[in-house]
Amino acid sequence: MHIPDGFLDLSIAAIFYIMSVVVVGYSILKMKKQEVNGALIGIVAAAIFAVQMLNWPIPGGTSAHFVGGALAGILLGPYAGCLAMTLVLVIQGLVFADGGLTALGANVWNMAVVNVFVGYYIYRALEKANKSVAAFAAGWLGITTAAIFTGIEVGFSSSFKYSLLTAVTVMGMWHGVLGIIEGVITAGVVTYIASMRPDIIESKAASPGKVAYGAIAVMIALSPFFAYAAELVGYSEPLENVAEMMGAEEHPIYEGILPDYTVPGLDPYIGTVISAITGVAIVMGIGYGMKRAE
Amino acid sequence: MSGSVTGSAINAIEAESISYTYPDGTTGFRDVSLKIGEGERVAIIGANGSGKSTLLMVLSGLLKPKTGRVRIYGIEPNKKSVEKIRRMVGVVFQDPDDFLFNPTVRDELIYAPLQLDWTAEEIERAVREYSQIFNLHEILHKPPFRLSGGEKKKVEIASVLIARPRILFLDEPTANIDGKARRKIMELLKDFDGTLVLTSHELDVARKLCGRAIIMGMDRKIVAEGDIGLLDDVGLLEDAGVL
Amino acid sequence: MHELIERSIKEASHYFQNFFIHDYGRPGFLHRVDARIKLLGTFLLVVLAVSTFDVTKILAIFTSCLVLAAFSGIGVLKVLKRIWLFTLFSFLIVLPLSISLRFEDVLYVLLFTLRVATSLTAIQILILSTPFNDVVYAMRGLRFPEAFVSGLWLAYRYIILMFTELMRVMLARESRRMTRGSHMEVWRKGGESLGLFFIRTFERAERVQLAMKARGEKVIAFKGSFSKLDKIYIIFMAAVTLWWIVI
Repeated sequence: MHIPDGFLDLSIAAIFYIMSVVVVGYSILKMKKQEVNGALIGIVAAAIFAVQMLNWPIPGGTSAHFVGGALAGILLGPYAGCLAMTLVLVIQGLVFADGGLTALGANVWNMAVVNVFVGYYIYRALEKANKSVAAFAAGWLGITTAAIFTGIEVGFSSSFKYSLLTAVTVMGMWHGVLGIIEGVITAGVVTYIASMRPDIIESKAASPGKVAYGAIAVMIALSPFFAYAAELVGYSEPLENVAEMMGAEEHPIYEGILPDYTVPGLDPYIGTVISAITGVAIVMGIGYGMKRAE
Repeated sequence: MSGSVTGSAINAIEAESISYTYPDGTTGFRDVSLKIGEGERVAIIGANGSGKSTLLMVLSGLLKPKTGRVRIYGIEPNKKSVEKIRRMVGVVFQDPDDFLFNPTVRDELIYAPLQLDWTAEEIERAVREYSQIFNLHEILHKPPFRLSGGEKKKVEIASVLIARPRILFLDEPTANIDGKARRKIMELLKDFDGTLVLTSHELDVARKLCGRAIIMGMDRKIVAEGDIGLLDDVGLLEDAGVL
Repeated sequence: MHELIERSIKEASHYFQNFFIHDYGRPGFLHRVDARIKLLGTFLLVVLAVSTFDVTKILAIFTSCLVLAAFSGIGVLKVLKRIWLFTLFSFLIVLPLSISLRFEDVLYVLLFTLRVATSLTAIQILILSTPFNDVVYAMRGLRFPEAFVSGLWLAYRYIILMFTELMRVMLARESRRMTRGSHMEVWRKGGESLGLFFIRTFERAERVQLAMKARGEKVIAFKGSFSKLDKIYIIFMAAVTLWWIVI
């Protein structure tokens, strides 16, 4: 479910970065205030990473991977769970190039915020009735919701030409099915821990701060609309705007050797090619200079 | 407590030029070939980190070797043969906490029998027998997590033996266990009459329980093998890093 | 569970190589550029690559990245080897959109793929020239919260150990399996094994916390002034950006 760079419009990527920073930042503050074992989050993150490496055989011969966002929320509480999943995503991005850099905000939103909080809410809502079913629902719906958000983000992006409906339907259905495995595994883990060390799960139950939960729930619910708004504001190339403002394109202060990126007198296409080659040559020249500098 | 010996001519375990590499790229062991006959009792000796635990995992069919082949009673472990092999082989892990995952000791004991479709009477009889032998009466209804190291080890071994494996693999059976529990475990293992393969860096354990020794060196290959008397060769053991 | 274990080990070997890429090979000049600058520079390259569908701009960035790879000692081939799979996937995902065979649609598919490839290249260059502990120090230097940064390092440092432990727990469970299980059973029993694994994880975290208390460990902030190498890298980035704007 990791979105690579290039699939999202920068406006959408930006809005999800902002929302993710808000929620993750708040989670860090919460952790500090509650004096949660710092080692716990790092090591559980490592454990989740290890678990994500498992290749679960599925009917059909291929394998699926367990994501564990809902589980992180259930075992650590939503804030620590969110943090742990964020750590996993950052490592995946910066060590394994799994998931893009500009897309990191959206990936964190989907897998560290939505997956974790939705999973947590559902578990808490249903656990009194039946822990196993509650855990299954948390795992399954957590993943499906995260997938739907992924679909929304790429669906709204004009960079990704498939329609919103297509993207959401494909992601939703595919993970709706795969999510069953996530649900079954989550249920297995939670029932085992509930029978052996119930204290681990109980302690995450009554956390203060209903307002914060509510706020985050609302953010999650509204985020698709934020995405839509971001898209409306316009997919624009910020640096080109700057260039325009500076008048670099329209009224060059200095005509330059190759004005309007053509060689005067030559057919425009050839001119463009020559400018391109020149540009490349200049860049390469600097590159070579770097190498000599070592 | 017998592993049913049928007197067949097929070796219990055969390994042809096997090697193993860990996921992180380091070598587990290399170039191992051996034959272990039915009823033999073999000690794999080596210093910590000489690859002997991993060798045990491969010989028992749990891990696939990178090169070479393993055969257990002539059968190569693969997708199809795996269940059959698991029923003939018992593995006692070094850390009982890796192994004991059931809610009570009794649950641990009946875990294998339940899979083997024993009748309720057979199961009851076995539980009584093994509680007796391993002295588990008092702790039958306790969670394994709460037991002492020695008790955990006994439960672990009992849970493996109750299914009557023909080959028993043990990884450092007496590690972190001393005193009465240790003596008891040694006694029980002496009485096992199937094929026995254990790893240890404790020479007296090897001498008491086994008749044959395989010595792994620091270069992760077999440096010597033969009669258990090999363990008296101090120079050899020093070279291998065991002493 | 036999399949589960075998497949996971196989994939893990491939995965873990990424932990050790910096143990081998000669470090090029890029290794010595300040990690903070590299982090920002890489982000800049990706932003430039994915903020446009203008073919000349995208090619400009892609070429610049390849130049960087070539002259920094990393090697273009090495980078291409590491990006081709994801690039192919992205290409296949959007390929159906070119079914009309109209010029715009085919161009879109090609440009989309090129954008992805360019971003991947920039990120791979960062990864291949920057050991993760440098990345972590850089984040601290860039004022990321201490809790976040130390959590990040701890997680990274313990991944291999956790995976090894996970495998032991699963092997032990597998050694006691004597019946063929359905997929559902593998998922459930596997889940239970994960339960045991997570309990042990919590216990280990407690032990590590105590050790950290005893040793007073903290991730140290990145100190340092800008060297000549850093300045050249910055100039390179500035030149590329200007070129992108003007082209």
